[in-house]
Amino acid sequence: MSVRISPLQIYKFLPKKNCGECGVPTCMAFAAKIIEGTITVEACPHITPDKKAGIESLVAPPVKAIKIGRGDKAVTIGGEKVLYRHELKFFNKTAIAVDLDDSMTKDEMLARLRKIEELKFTRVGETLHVDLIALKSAVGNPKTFADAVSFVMDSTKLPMILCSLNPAVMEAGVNVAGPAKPLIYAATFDNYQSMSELAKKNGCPLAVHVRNVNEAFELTSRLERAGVEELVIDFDISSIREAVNNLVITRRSAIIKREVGYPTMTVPALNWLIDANEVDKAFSEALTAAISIVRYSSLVVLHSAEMWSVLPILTLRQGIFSDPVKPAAVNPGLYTFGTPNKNSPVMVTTNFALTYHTVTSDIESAKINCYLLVLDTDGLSVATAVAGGRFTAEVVSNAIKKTGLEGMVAHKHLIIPGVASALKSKIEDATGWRVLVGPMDSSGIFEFIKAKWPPKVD
Amino acid sequence: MTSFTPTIKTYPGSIAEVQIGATRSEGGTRGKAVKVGGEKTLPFYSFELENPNRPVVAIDVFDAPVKLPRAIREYYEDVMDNPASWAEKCVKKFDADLVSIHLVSTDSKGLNRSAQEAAKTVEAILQAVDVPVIIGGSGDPKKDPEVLAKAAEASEGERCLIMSATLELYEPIAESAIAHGHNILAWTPVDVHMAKRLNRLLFGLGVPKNRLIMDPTTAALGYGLEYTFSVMERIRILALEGDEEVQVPMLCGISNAWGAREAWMKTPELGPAEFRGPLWEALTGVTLLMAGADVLLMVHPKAVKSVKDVISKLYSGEKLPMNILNWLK
Repeated sequence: MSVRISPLQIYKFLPKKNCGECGVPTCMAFAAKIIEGTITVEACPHITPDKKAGIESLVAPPVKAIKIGRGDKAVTIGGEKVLYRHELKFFNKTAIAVDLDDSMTKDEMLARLRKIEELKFTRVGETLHVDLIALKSAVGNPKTFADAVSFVMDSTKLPMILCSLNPAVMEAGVNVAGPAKPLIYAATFDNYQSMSELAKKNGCPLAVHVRNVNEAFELTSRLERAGVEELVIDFDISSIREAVNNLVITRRSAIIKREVGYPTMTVPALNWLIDANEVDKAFSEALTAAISIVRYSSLVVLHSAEMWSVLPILTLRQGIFSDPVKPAAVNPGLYTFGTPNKNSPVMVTTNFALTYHTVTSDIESAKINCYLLVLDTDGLSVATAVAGGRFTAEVVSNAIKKTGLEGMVAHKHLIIPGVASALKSKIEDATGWRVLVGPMDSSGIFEFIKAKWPPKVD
Repeated sequence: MTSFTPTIKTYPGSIAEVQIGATRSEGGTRGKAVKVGGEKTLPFYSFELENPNRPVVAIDVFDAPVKLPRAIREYYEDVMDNPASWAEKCVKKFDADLVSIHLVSTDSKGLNRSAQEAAKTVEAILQAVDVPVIIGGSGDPKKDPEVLAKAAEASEGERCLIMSATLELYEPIAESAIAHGHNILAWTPVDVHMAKRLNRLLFGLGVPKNRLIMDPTTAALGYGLEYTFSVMERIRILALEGDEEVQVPMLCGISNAWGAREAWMKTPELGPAEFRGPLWEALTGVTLLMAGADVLLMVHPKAVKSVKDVISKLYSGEKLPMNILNWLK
């Protein structure tokens, strides 16, 4: 689907000495490694600067990588190479911004900033959070905006998007925030000359707001000619149908033709302009964000700072940007929690990473000393593994033998997930162990152990 | 302006169109039938081509009390002891395009009701509503063939969708469904190759393409949704590129979203479950719409409403007053 570069195209630029000084025996092998991304051109001691540039332009991702902010909280968006995640993977996860405006009092701004920063949740060993603050000039006054920019910079480390279509207001904001490399939002056909000057002078990335991909092509071309190439394309979303078309056409042009190769963004926060109750607005916003994430938006700007509506968006992003090739699995085997002894319970689960992390966090919070027998189900969850025949009595029986469980506990009781209850008697027949059917969800482990362990002897 | 030309692709393959439900003139009693599938391009790539049929939403009905999260239960409390009234409520109040009845009472490890009783439930539902009906068993492999055969017989001519044929159990289910003029759902666990194999086996039994829908398993948001998403994208691309084994519509059990603890668990720091749950379901639904879902089985009325709203906007192109000038005020 995407443009594939052959090692031969890279080889043309190489010295063809086969000197091996880069650590790879031949120049052709070196070329192949560059394409894989396992080595960079710098490793070649004999390459000339112009040849190096030639190779770099060949291997550059068709969607440009754009960095917003500075330091360890900086966010990189774009840098994408494929149209479908199953072809390779998506590289830089959609950045999530929440808005704030300069008509608020300092106390209000601070309260909202803290609320945005508290939108944190840990799942599958990763902390999900909001990445950016989108500060809007609602008042339309340069001084007010500059003051707000300065206040936000002092109050949070999150990088910023400065939002105004008025060049004078933007200039006041960029004068304050410029060194922190905020994203300037936005250039339009009316203001792009002034906005491009601000972006150039301060080395800041610039968003262009356009209605469709033709306008995106035209405006980004004009900006390129003006010397601005750190660009992000923001599409109008007043028709979600057209927004999807524009997002798809843009990504396809970038990947297939290396045209309009910039990351795209949307502002789902615009759903708050519709006349509806707050819950409905948050629903529309979240669903627009979901469509944007699965259809190539590298950045979304939200208005809701409520956990119930932001968490599903963060969760979707985490999944879509996970590596589809690397199974989300942990090593199967016997895991111990706390200080288990011969009389401690033995629970059974599968090696799907999320299942494992969920179960272990429940065991840990319940403070139970126990063993956890993690089955090899090729990274499938309990329900899917049971249905798909990868969580079977035989798999359990093999795991018991392989881990030497018999020698570690003085009892013969296994606690299986409630979802796998149908396997109870088969496991008992295959292993000779007695099976206790545990809770349907591992959040019930504490109550279950309290009520059912140690098991009654019959 | 310099010219820009979008890259348009043409595909050699297309998805079969499947009709669920039969009207009086077609030998059934439905007020309206539903057509799904028929795609010639990827979902909502309307710059390329207009896909002919909108995705549809079926609401789940159970023939025996099931454990439902509180956020869902409150909408159905008054009808839970009567599947026909439950179905009627889904259509009249919650705008279901179809009704999916799950005959869970037949499970031999549960209430173990007879296939005859279950077939009566199906008849009652067909009487109570005039939308097309999807009929599912309890998942008990010992009972399902008989239960689904009796249900297929009782609903002969109505062109229902019978779920599900699986790799372990496909022959009796497909045979009774076809014998009584219904459609078949083929279920496989998130695996392109297994999905292809099951379809191949069903075609081998003489199931026509326009009577088959596939269910590649819906994993909940946060619990592997992205696997489902990518398997569906792969299936749809294969189909459009000409792989005849997968040129059928896809169904998604979006209600599975409630398997995610984040959807139902009372956790004050995650905000009110009464909103979080339906949004979890709606987001799962919208994500899979973009991957090619044609039939969505759903359960929470608010999730149903918001997903149907998105489908309608994706089709109509309706423009809403969402100007950034107003946002920047």
